[in-house]
Amino acid sequence: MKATYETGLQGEKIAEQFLCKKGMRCMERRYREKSGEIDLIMEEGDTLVFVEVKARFSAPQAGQGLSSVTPAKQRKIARTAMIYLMKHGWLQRNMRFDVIEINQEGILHVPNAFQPGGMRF
Amino acid sequence: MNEMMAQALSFGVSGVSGFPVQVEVFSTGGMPGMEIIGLPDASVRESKERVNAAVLTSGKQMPPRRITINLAPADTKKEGPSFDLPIAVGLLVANLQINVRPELDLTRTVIFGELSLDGRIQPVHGALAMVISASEQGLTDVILPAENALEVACIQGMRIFPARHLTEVIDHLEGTQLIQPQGQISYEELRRHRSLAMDLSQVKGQQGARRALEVAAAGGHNMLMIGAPGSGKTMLARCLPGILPPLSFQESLETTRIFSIAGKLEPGSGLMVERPFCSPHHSASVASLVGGGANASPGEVSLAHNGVLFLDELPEFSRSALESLRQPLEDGMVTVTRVRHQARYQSSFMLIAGMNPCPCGYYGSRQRQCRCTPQEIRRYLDQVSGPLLDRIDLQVEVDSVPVQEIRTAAPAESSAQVAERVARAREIQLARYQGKGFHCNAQLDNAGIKEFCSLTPEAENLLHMAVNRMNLSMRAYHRVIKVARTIADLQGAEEIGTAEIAEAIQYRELDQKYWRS
Repeated sequence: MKATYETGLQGEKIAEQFLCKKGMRCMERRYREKSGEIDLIMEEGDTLVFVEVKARFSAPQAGQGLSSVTPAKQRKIARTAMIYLMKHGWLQRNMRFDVIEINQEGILHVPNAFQPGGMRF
Repeated sequence: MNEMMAQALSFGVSGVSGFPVQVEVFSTGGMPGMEIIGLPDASVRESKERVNAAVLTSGKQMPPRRITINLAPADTKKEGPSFDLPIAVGLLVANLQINVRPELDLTRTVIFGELSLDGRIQPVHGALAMVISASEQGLTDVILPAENALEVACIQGMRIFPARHLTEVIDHLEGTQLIQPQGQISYEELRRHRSLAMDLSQVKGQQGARRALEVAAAGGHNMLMIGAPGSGKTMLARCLPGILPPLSFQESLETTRIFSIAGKLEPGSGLMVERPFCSPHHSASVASLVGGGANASPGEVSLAHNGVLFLDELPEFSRSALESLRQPLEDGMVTVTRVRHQARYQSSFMLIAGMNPCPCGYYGSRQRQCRCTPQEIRRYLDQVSGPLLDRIDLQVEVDSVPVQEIRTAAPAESSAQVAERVARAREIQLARYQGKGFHCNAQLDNAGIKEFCSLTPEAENLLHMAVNRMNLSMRAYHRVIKVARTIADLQGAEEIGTAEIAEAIQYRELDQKYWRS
């Protein structure tokens, strides 16, 4: 159990460094609400970026982590993001939802991985 | 500015006419996503996935924005994929992906077309109806799928821009590379490439039936052929479009429009130059004959508009299917009503019916003995109701031609020769009925019969005698006169004489022979 937690923490650190190098600024790490958790909240220019990190160092190939962000998981993230936005009064800001996957081969960053706008919460 | 707005103009189809649809695209910050409103059906809602893919494969971006697409008027149902292209254009403009050149007015440029995932533009149904409606509203510029271009190329005063790919449309809107407008094609030019499916010269023997077919064509009369299997009923019927006068431009517009809406037009084809020939199978339902389905689409009677509806094996059709033909036969128009839709389609066709004289098919045949009992025959014939029979002007018996006769028969007259006589008779009728609201003898009403069908006294005598002896109904009486009028027109005669009446009565005799015995 401990190992999974460590993997996650380590993955998020790598992801943050990777995104910061791309010119993003970190706003929150492990943002937590009753509805769920968002791994990273970044800012790129005027756009807020909610990032879900999938770290799998044992995974044989890339792309697997990505498909594990199911619609249910997406809704959870979106709901949590909504609360964050409301607390800051940022509902009208430009934003997007990214997924970043890390395994032993490297880092796969998918900007705008899903759009929760049309979903029913 | 965070909020962006764009508008594109498109058309939808309802019944046989198009109606303008404003495609409004509103793009703002907030939770990213795309929503289409304005009563879209499933195919319109799916359009966002096609548009998304097509935009990306065309090398443009889809920024993560909150996007609302409204199809106005919001209270009319929108269906079909033809809104893909205007939605894509609206999205590109609202998301600042393209700069439309200032001299191009998007609110006066009609855009429609289906997108495939790789950005190619696919043909849509109803292009002709949409462009006609656009032209009636004073709009001139249309961007449409290249495969629909020929279909609308005959409409005057339009600038048609046929597009094959989304990138072509983008370049056209930005002005970097304009699409070559489709040249106008005159209807006469299209008509030059007319080819006949079946020629009368292939029909051997059958003098009586050939003559009846000619009379039917000349006056626009409905016809019933009774004969043994394999006697050539279908072949004769197939020859009919070839001896009818060619479709006029107006008629072609009407018919092509219905085909276009039904999606029966071959992609890449132009206006129809051949009269339609529809021969639904006898298992046809009421809805498939007169029109219906969830969106009240046209049926066979409308597809046969200005052409021929051939019902082979008439008694095998369901009773309800046959009875449903009465309204279109009478009015040349059919109203299809469904829960959500109501549509009126033109359905002015010539009904040609074929049937066997009995269930086994050989009653009265020279070739084989009939095996049916009188009751069986009765039941079979009774499938065809009196009212329907009453609406059929000509009835002929078609018997098989003996083999020797087929081998030795002199070459028969070709369709072209017959068509010439038919055309002359039709011209006489057109001149006579100018401004009266009908154009052939079959459409005459009772007042018209009084006015235009004067009989010689001897002919009158003969007719009255026949009516009494044959017990003809009033409607049948009028039909005999109409047919006689057509026969006189074929002769070029002003007045109807005994010969014409005699021939016309002869086309009524089967009634007596089969149904009243």
